[in-house]
Amino acid sequence: MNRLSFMFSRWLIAWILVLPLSAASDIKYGRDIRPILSDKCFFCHGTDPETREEDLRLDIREEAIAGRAFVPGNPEKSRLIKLINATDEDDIMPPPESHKVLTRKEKQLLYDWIKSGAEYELHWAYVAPKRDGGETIDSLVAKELQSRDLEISPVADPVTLLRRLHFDVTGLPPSREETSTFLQMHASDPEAALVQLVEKLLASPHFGERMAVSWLDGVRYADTVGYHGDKERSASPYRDYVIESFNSDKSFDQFTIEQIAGDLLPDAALSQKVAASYLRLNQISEEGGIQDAEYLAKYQAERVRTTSSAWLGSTLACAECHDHKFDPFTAKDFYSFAAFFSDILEKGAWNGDGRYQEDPEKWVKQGMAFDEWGPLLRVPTKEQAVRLEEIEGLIGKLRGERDSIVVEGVAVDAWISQQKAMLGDRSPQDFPLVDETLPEPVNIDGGVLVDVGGGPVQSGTHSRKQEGDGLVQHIIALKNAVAVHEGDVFYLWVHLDPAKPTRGLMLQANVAGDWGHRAYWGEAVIPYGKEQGGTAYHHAGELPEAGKWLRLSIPAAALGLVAGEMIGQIACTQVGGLIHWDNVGLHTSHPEKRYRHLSAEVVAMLKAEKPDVEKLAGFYRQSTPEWKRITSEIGNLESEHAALLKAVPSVPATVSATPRPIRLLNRGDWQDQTGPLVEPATPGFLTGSNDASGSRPTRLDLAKWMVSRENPLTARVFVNRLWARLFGTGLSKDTGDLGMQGEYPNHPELLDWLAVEFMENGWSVKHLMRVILLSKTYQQSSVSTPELLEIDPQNRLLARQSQLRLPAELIRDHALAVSGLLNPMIGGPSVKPYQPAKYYRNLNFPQREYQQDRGVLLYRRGIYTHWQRTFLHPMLKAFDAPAREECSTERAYSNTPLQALNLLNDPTFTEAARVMAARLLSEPEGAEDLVRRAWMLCLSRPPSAEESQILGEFHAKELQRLTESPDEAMKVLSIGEMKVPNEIPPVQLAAAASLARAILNLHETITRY
Amino acid sequence: MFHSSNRRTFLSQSLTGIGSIALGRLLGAGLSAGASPTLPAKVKRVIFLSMAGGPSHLETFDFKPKLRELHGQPMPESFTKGQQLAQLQGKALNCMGAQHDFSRHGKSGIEISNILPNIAKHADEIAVIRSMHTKQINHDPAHTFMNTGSIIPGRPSMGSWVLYGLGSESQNLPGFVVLTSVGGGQGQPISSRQWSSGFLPGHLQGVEFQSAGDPVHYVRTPDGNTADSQKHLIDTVNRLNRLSGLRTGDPEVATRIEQYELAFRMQAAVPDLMAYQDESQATLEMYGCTPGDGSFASNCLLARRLAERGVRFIQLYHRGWDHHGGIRNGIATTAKLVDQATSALLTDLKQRGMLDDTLVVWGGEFGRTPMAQGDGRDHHIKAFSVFLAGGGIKGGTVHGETDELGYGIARDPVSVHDLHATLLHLLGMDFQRFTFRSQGLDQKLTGVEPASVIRQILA
Repeated sequence: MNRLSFMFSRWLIAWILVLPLSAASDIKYGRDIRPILSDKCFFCHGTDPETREEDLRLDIREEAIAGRAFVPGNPEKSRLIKLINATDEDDIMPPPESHKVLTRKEKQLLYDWIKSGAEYELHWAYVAPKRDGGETIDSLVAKELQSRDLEISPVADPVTLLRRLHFDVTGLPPSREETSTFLQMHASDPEAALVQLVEKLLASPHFGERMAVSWLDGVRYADTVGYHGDKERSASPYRDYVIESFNSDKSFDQFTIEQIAGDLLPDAALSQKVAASYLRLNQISEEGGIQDAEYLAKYQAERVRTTSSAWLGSTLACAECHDHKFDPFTAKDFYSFAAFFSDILEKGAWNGDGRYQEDPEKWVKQGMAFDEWGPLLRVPTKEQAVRLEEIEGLIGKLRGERDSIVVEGVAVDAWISQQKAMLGDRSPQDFPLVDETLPEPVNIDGGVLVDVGGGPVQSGTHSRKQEGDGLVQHIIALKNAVAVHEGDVFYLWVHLDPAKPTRGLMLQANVAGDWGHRAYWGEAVIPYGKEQGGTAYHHAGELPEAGKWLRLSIPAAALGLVAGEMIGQIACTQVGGLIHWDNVGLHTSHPEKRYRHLSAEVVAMLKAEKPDVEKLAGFYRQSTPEWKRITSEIGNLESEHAALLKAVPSVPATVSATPRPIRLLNRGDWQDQTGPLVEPATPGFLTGSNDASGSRPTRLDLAKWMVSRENPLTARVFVNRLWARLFGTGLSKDTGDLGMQGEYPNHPELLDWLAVEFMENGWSVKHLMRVILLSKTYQQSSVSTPELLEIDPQNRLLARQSQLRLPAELIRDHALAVSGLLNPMIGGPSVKPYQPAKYYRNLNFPQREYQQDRGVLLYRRGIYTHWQRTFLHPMLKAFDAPAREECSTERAYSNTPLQALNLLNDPTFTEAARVMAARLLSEPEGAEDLVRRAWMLCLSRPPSAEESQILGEFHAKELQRLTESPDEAMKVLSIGEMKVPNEIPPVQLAAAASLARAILNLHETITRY
Repeated sequence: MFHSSNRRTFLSQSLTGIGSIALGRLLGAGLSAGASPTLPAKVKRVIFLSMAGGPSHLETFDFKPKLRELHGQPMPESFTKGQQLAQLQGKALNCMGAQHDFSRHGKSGIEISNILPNIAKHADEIAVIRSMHTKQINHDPAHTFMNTGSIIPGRPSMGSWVLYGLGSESQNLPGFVVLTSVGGGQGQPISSRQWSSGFLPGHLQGVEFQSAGDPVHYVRTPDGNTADSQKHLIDTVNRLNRLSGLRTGDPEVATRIEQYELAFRMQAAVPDLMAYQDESQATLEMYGCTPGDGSFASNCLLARRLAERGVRFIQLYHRGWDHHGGIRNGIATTAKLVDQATSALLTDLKQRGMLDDTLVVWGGEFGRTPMAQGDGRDHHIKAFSVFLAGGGIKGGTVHGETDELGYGIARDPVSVHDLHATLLHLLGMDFQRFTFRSQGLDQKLTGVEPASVIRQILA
């Protein structure tokens, strides 16, 4: 074991054993007594009647006294004291089978508390926060420190402060220019420099990205559905809404209302509807065989868990099966909370078996789009919106032009005579199956169309190029199957390239899935059908002469095709060489085929004794080149419109439908429908009645209740989490639970001060950030002393700042930023950076290969990485990003070998090192002073002499190694897609890349001090 | 409250083992309850063979003559009324007899299907539980329940729990390794949440070894670098880290240095692990695989190699037991892919003296209906079979019994929590005291519902 860490763990153990609690004289029920009772007693003597023993409650003072648990002021006469000190196994409390044991200290506390009168207090977090005037963050922290003869640490050095602020506010490191500007200003006026820096960073569009990281964890934002096949589901506009809300400093109460009930706001804006998609970001399933009701119950429970946890820091989830064991939440509270969400139009089973609670036709008629995951909102980018509107305008204009086409009577008459003549003619004609001019173009699998400029063309504008060393096959699926008639003959136009000869070519027809209809020319080199022989492998002749267009033909009967059979697909196959293929078709005398361009109606009209000339003129009009040209243009625009619409990001829409009835499910069992129906209601103990109107409360009522000044939780939960992010630990440590099993805050006054400050300043997140960032408490040094580490290893007293490893996304961002690779674009669909191959092989329905993005999309910030819930990107996962299956309020900060492997060997980082090296070497200084410059670029400070020396030696050795094996240098430079200037000698560049790699791997690089 | 000596054991294990967590945070993050063994341990490690998809108990370990008699006739309504079904909901329910014959094996005479002839040879070494039941009828949640004891996604898997309790014995490999294979039936997807560490520290998560490409993500030194240059890089990084540790006093630096050293050892250990040249021809033939071919058999061989190297929890998924249709041939095909290798693993462990301190578990996330679904069977949660073998297990035992049609449980029901409790018990942990503080609760693998160790199958 490493000596340092061993010593450190010994410190910890020592500290744990001597952990000082509060002085006995100053016992507070909430801080000192209730945690003991809650942990050790309430399970059997608390809120839940189902598990209550001897009908004794200790959570209510009157009941505890009535139940003769204790006599206030007289511990000697108190049964509680007797039982916790009993020696007999049958008497002792807590009973041995509970595996709960009271320490001597806890027993003493209970004794002292009863002696001093056994006063109760309401749970701190269930009382609205209030504060005394005149205090500040620093004064409150100082007060606590003074009581322990401690004081805050000196202010951190300017570089540390600069980096700390950058990482905490925008998540991106300062550039070298920003560093020198700041240091200059700081030297003359530190305070002004800091204020200006904070303002600049809060105004940066990257502020929203940094804030969104934790928010998205809380609201379980992801790009896939989570359960079973874990298919993709677009939701990126929601993520962008979050970023934009933080950037525009949307007040947190409004931010809350929009997410819980944005769709219910009068004249809701698109962004507010997007916000409400929060409610539909839960995991959903389309696994075969699942039952609608079961999954609806899962979704409703998840919404309660996530909403109560993300906003209220409550474990209301525990009341799904029974009344909460520790907090006053009842099972009825759980289901009443769930009932708020029962209006959301959705299904439980998305496998085709599920049912909406209301016919969605109503919304379809209003223009609401639906996809496989139900209603969705399209959220075009500005560019997309502009182009969509443009296309719609153009289509309208073209339609107008087309409507104004006028045809001359003479031309109509001529056309009618021509068509009549054609109808009378019985001689066979060519009927093309494959031709670019056909009104219904066919799908050509893998085909390359070349126009007259690109190769020979027999008819029309294009031919199809087939080229290869071995077997080349193009399969052409006909839009509509074509019937074979008696006497039909296949024809095909081919042009064999004399320079690239072919050995054999083949025409194949597919009838009802059977490909066994083949004719080939040349050698019998194509394996298909060879074993069968006969009409499945008919030899039609020798290869035609190369270098010119020739028409090959073969009776359909030779391919075994019988009249009436329907051809669905055609295949054109060759072995070797280059062939241009043009039209393939049937030479046929069947009348229907010959006037396929005319509808049955027109044919009938033409055959009529007195043709309706006016109507026929209309048909003629549609056959004019002008009409066809405009129609084809409209078609192109319509395709573009459809494609664009498909590319427009969307969110699952929250649509308010008739609420489903919600029952209290006994023990959470969805199949038990005997429980009573419940109406939406907020947890009873947190409010009186929130229902004045008497009508059914909605999500909007819930949201307003959540952000009302009387709600004791929402503001506290948010500021506590923000504090945890900026200091490493929340003021109340369990940021997911401010309930009775949570921690009594270390600085209760400070937590309340912040909550009130937040609410009194219009729930402004930027204001809250500013107040904290400009405090001395925040700006103090994070370097500890051994004494302080021993007294307070977790930094709960705030006598220093904390040293925090960067979250996963920021580690990626940092490497991209310092190398210059970072694509700073804000928002947009999620992206797919490098990822190990076959990582998704355990996924199915459908099976899939990860399609990595290309170009600038490879270099976007970590927050935009595709979030595959079942298989989160390995880098994000290694650095503790959550899968976001459910709400998570805090990330772990593990330190593992997988992280080391990641930074060492992941192409994202090796490429960044290479590009960073190229960046440095391309600067005017070139290779001069490289170590110091690389160091400055990454760490914003110059290296010490010793650091320079160590790194310089490594660089020199790498230079030597790569000079000796230049092939290795080329390999180093081949990692990643980004091209770098090729003027730099490869060996020099590769050695600099090694240098950069070392710096990117430093602990200091991935830590915010 | 924890006991200080246990605490010390845990800390030292987590530091010498693989991965660690910020120490200050470790205590802040919920490690207030005690980990580490409190009972005499029977086994040191677990190899969990997850037969994903839900193997039919009626074609493997639970022969029901009466079901054969009623083959093709309506399932008596008394069995199925008001019960949850998956794809058969609302369909006609007819009995389907076992599609394969059974024979009795060993001195114990356990009845085992003829499609598992090799496993059957171990009849006197295994304990078959015929009375397992579960709560979730669809694959994804059922796996989650089997792995974490909870139906809520995001809880720690049993492998992470075990690693949390016992730490890793390996100096250079992860302590919890997952391997997957597919074949023989519908390959239902498997989510990596099945080996998540949930609210436990991240270094306790299962690490999936890939059958294609690099076995561990990013374990290969980048092109253009050699083992020596990589070593030099890591030494340089560590020297610089040491210097900055002195400057900042950051206690995480020491751990970071260790993790880099560990990473380097892993880079060497993984290729060594995958170098099968040292396996004898006889061994390879016994497993019946080409090493590294991604098959279940190859994974079984790798499992043994991992076990030899001190990996604590090894979980193999074979995705191929979801026989909604064509069960007669389908299950025989899947069985063939699994039977010989499972048997070889047991034999191999035994030959090396490792079966005594290894627990091998074989079983799926649920069973299948006695009622036909076409010529297959639907998911079934009321009863299914698993078997256990290895240290502390009483071989030749059958525990529990289903009713005459294999629908419900007639005797000695065993819940997933009971299975977990037994597993922890064999590893020397009191499942009731083995807790982790999260969200204000002392969380347990076995959850809040009553659970008990299955004493009847213990030696």
